Amino acid sequence: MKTIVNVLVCATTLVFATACALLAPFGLDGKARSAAAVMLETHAVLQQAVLIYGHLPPCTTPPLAHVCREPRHWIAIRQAERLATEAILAAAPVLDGTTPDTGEILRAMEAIDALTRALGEGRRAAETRDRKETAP
Amino acid sequence: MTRDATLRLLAALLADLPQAIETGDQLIRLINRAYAELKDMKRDVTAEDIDALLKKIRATSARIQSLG
Repeated sequence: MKTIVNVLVCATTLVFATACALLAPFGLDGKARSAAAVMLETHAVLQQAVLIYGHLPPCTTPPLAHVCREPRHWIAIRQAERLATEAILAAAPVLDGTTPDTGEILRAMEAIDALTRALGEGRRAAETRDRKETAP
Repeated sequence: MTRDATLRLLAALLADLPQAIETGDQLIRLINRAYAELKDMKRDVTAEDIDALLKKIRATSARIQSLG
């Protein structure tokens, strides 16, 4: 579980860093496209973390597996991933430079941020469960 | 924050993940691959690159949504 927590923390930090990278240079040239690519690559990394979490067995009471997936958080994470991907795809014409931005980039970033928050909730739940299981 | 600063941050994050390196081969390979792909972006990113990334994201999302 620590590994998953680590990668989720890493991915969350990456998204915020990428949001900064994207906001700064967006608008004119190849740098804008590079920033867009970084955002997309970061979301792709986040998706891999979601996939790994999604392949864990569901948590049960009493616990049958130490490393498991909270059904409630998994639903929230999966929904957030769907919304983030939809927002990114909606921003695709802006990202490839064929259409001017009318708020699509910001909406995509907000959706990615929502996904990181959902992952953060999952991480906190996993840490809480970890503490309970290892308590004497 | 520039793209280069983002790459530096990513490198720092990688250095701070000893537990992942010891216990999560799959995850560290994932991070390393993303890092390598980001470094590749020193060349100009084309519209085809963006399109390929979007296709990858769409395909991965379909896999995620198909999980029960």
